Amino acid sequence: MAPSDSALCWEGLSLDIAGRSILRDIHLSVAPGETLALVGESGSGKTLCCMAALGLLPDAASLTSGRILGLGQCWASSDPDAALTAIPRGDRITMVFQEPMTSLNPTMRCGNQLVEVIQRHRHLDRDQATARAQSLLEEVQMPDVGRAFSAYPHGLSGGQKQRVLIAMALANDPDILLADEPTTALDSTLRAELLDLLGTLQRQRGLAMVLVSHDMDVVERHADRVAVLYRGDVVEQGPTRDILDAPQHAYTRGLLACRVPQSGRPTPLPVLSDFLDGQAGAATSNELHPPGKDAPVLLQVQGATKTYPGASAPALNGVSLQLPEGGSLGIVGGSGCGKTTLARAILGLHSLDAGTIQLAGQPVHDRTPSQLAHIQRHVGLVFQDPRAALNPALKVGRVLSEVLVRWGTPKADAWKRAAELLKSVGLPETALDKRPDAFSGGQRQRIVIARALAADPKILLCDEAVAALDVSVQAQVLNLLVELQASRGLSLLFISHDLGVVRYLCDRTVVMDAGQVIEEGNSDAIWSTPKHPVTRRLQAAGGGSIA
Amino acid sequence: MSRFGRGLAVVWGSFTLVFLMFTAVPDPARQLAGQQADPSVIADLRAQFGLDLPVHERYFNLLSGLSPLGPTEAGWGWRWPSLGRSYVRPEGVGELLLDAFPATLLLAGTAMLMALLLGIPLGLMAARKPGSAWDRILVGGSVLGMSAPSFFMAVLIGYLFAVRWGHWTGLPLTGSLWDLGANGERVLAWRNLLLPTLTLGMRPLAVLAQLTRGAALEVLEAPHVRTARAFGAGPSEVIWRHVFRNAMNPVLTSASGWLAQLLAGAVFVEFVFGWRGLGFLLFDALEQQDLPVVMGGVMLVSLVFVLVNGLTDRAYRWLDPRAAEA
Amino acid sequence: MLALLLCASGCASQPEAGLDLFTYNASDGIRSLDPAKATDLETMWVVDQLYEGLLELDTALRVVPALAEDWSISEDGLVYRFRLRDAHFHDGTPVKAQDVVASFERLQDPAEALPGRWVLGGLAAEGAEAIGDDSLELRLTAPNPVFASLLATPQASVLRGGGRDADPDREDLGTGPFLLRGWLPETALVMHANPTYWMVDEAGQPLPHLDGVRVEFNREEGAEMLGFQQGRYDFVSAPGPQWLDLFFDEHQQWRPQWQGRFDAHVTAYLKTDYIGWMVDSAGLSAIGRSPIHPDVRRALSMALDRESLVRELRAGGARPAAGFVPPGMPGFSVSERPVLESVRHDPEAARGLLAQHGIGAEVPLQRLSGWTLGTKPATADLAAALQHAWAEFGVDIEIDVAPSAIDAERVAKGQVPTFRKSWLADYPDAENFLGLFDSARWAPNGPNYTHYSDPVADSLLSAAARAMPGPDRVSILREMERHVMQSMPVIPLWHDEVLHLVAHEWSGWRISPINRLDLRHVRRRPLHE
Repeated sequence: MAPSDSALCWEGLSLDIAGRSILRDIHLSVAPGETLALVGESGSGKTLCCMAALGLLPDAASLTSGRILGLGQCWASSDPDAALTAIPRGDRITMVFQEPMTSLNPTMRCGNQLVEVIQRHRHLDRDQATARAQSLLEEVQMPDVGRAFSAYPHGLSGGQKQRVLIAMALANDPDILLADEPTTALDSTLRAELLDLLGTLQRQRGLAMVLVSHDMDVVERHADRVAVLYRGDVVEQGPTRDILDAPQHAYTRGLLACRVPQSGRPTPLPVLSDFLDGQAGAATSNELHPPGKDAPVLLQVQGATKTYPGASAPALNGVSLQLPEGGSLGIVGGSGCGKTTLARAILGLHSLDAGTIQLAGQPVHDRTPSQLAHIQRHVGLVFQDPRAALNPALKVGRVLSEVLVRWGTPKADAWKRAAELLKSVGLPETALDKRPDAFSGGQRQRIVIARALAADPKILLCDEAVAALDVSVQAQVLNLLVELQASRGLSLLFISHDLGVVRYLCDRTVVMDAGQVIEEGNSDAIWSTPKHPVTRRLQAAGGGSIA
Repeated sequence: MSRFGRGLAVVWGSFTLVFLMFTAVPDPARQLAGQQADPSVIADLRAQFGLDLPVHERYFNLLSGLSPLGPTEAGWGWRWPSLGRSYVRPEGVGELLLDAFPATLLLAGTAMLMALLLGIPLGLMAARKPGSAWDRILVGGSVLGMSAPSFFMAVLIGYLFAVRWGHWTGLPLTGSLWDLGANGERVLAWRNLLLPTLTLGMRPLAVLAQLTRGAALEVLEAPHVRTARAFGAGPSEVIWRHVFRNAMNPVLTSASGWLAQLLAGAVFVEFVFGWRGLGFLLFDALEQQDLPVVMGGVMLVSLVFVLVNGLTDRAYRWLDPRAAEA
Repeated sequence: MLALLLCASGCASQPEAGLDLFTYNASDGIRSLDPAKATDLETMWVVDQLYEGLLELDTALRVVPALAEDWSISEDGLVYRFRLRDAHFHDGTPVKAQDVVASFERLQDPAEALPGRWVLGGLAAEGAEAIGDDSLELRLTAPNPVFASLLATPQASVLRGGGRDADPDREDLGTGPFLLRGWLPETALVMHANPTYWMVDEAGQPLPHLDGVRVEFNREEGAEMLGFQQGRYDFVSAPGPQWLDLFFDEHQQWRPQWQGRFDAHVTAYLKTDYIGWMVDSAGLSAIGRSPIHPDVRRALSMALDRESLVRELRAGGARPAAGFVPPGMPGFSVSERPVLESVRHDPEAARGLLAQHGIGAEVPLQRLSGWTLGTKPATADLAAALQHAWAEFGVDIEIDVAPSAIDAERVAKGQVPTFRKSWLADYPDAENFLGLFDSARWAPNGPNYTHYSDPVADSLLSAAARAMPGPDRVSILREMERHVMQSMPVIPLWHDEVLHLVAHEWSGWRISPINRLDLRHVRRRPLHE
């Protein structure tokens, strides 16, 4: 469309940071009332496009060509002599960021932060601004507006914080709203809610919205037009339906293909490299091989109950499950359902008020030193955030050797065995000498998995192991997990909020809510016919429209 | 152990430690008796101060003197804890401390105030434009300020302002809070506060400015600052509303540590400028082996540290509501 | 901003209007105003202004009347009778004999533990008796030729009511030329002229001439000297060597920039700095040493070039030792007591003496080593100079520096074989110096730190104690000094000088070898002088 019709327009924009080319010849535009999705993986430059529109680029960034037009004015230009209009941040153009946990000032009450934004751009006195703030919080469907207003950020949940940020974004009736992966850090049930909310608000106010995401399912649900970015280039753009039904570019096709399917189990999942390199790997298998009925029970939890001191309701309330040797069990639920508590109890990090946990024939719920050692020997742990899980100062080889030596490998052999471990997760031996920051997120997660395997455990406990990864990387890691399970006879305990991923990976699923097991059984059965309303919500959130 | 109990233990510990140290050092009786040092006079002096009693008895006597419950003129009852009399000076220890401490309090407080009022804004302003000329001046200046030893700075500042430029400034090289007028009346001598404050406050100023700058730079990278910017906050607003309080944590820690240190009596500065505060008093008492004064002074200093730490904790909670729940 | 503040303060400061106070600095501070506790010079100087006793010393060190208008001694020398003049304490109450008696009884009282108690050692218990309000008698246990000069010490001052029912540490209970107006310990002390003071000058003018005196307590000598140069202080005493260099050239003349601004008042000081050697074998073996032959000590004394030591270490503010008793002492002037052989600089003789005992710097003589000299930090430079000087003669000494109080304690307890000390006259009699060799006063029970003991010396000392003041007595004391110095338990080094630098605008300065501060005659010099 013509630039004058659009609310925000990137015209041939190229951006360098510290001399390196980050964005190349970006042509994008958004019209009022329209939602443009920017799709790409980490490093594609989609966030930087938004930051450029806001004028909040780092000092080392420079525009090498093109310009940005907003509301008909020239907001940024590579031409040093161009006449620029000041970008009306917080007023006409606002942004909702990705990490609600840290995007609010921890030392200011949420209400005050909202009021501050209102007062900055409007001539309202304190009472008027407060009233407006409260009505905004109602609009974003904040439960208990009064409490949220006077609470500090750490007193609100992630979802509630994001609502506050959305309220701030809409406070001054902007024309343009940039939403950078606004729900990625939240669990799946919330995602749908918040994205629907955003959509509603957008329609009501006729906003031009830019929605940044790495997830095609989100895009499908909420965007009118899609632009796909790959490494700083717009490789494809057009109406959503067109892009999704008939992707032209290999990257787009790859992105669409490596999503977790809703039925069947192609193994391995397609990965991006298959598409970009032009080889389509053939799925070799489509079935799970669950263990037989007489397989010994590796992990048995009976009636686990725990209430945190000072809490009104129990975090775990009579939870029972079992994991047979060679099997895979998924534990699914929304945030606060108790799955994390359960995981910690299994790991011996929490005591139980009642109930038992048996691991490889031994009780471990008493948490004596020998029991704890038993747990560590048999359970390998993979966390959600690979950045936080590895000590940035230590070389990878050292990280792995430490664990190996701890579990009996003689020092002389440790390095060699570490190399073998890396090989089994698909990383080369040269990785031993590098530090974690030399690797991408997906590679780091592999290192974490390698470390988990170092003790040669029987169970691999994955706590939201793929939640923070791009969809293509997620596919790779899932492939790895499947392969490890097959080659080492590992049993898998997979904790997630994503029912779809769990369905793909695990033969049995346990659904939890409010500390109780509300549904369990064969994964496919649960997926196709969820009985409990919570399960149905999870399935709706995870199937077809994961966010 | 509760905080109160811990504080009490610290104070008692310092009391005992000083007492033990003094058992290894000759008492001042011989010095007091002078050149002629008549042995009977020395013995009588010792008896007067109870120095001829065995060690544990002396310790117990001192300790019981501190108790608020004990023998008074009217039998057993409540009374002011007594630290005893100085061996060397006619005043009681309590009297000496009460005289000296306010002077140190004033000096330390003023110096700290100066350091905070100047240091924090300077640091914040430098963080606004890192790498600018102003920033470089600040960093360089604060490195100099931090490295210069206090004794050296005291002498240098004294020389410059009181000697070299003494005509214009009218400042004396030495002087304490109180002075005597021509008729022997006590007068407040505020002028004397300037140079010691300048000297004493210089190092905390430099450190706080640097710390503030560093902390502010770090906070400037935080997501909530990005949010504020994204919502149109200008650079000043960002610094003052969104960076300031969040950056104060390390600064406050440092400031409280400095305050406690300054309150303990900056001996060099007090000595060079003749500022009769706690540090000066302690220094003097040590030279004279005046045990009761040293003990009283050290106990007061430990008490100060305990209180300042307690207050700092309170301040943390005010500054950062997250800490309140921790 | 800071600069503005400083300038503003400068503009705000006004010079003191009204009273003209004579100002000086007492860098060691004073701890108490009680005359009986005055053991150091600066305290005694303040006591000199606030208090006086029955008698005092004039600049020639003769005993003259003070509060006692006249006095007499009985034939047997045991009873002293005084008639008091018409004088008043600073609060207006008249001075009565009962006050004197009470003051002396307090001084003698063991319960008071007063450092000045020794001054009345010769007074019998309850030997002070008031006769009416204006006369009193003092009864001694034995005739004492120095008793009168002891009454002239600051410790023998008269306090109102004897100091009972008052706090002599902090209150002004005296009759002296100045009265206390205010005292801020460690900061300043202000005294105003006593309007009812009894003394008048030659022209009949009441003394003192000054309006008042202000004493400050700046610790640092540097600040004091600076204050003196800037006119903040009117007088400084005995500046250290570096300051002497600043003020005077090598010929002891004022440097041009100071000419006419200050006056220097000098006289010999009754003080001796010396190196003491423990000479009793039992004491020495208790610390693991064996005695050194007196010849060796003698040789070490003669090995010293005292002129150059004085020049290097004292910048000329002292005179090389003539003997143990300083030449300023009556009867020991240079003509009456020529410089002793053993303190002359004679390196040849020294070497010879040492060689006789097999000690020397070159083979086949052996070096003498393993001997320790104890000192406090302030005099460590002297110790180093001695070490250097004696090393050339083949005698190696080790230096052991300890903080002042510890050094004093260990010398008193006989824990160091050799030490540096000084003796300052309490009263102007040679017996005060020679008492250091009294075998009955071995340290720690007296000042005989060397543990010298000789029956001949003892008998000479008691003969002097029995003799009446006069030339015969003095020659007994001279003989005693000669005898003692033959075995050289001490090596005298030098005698300090009393040096007062006073701003030129003040005249009437009095100075005496006993170094008391007499400000009674000081006045501003009329402008035409």
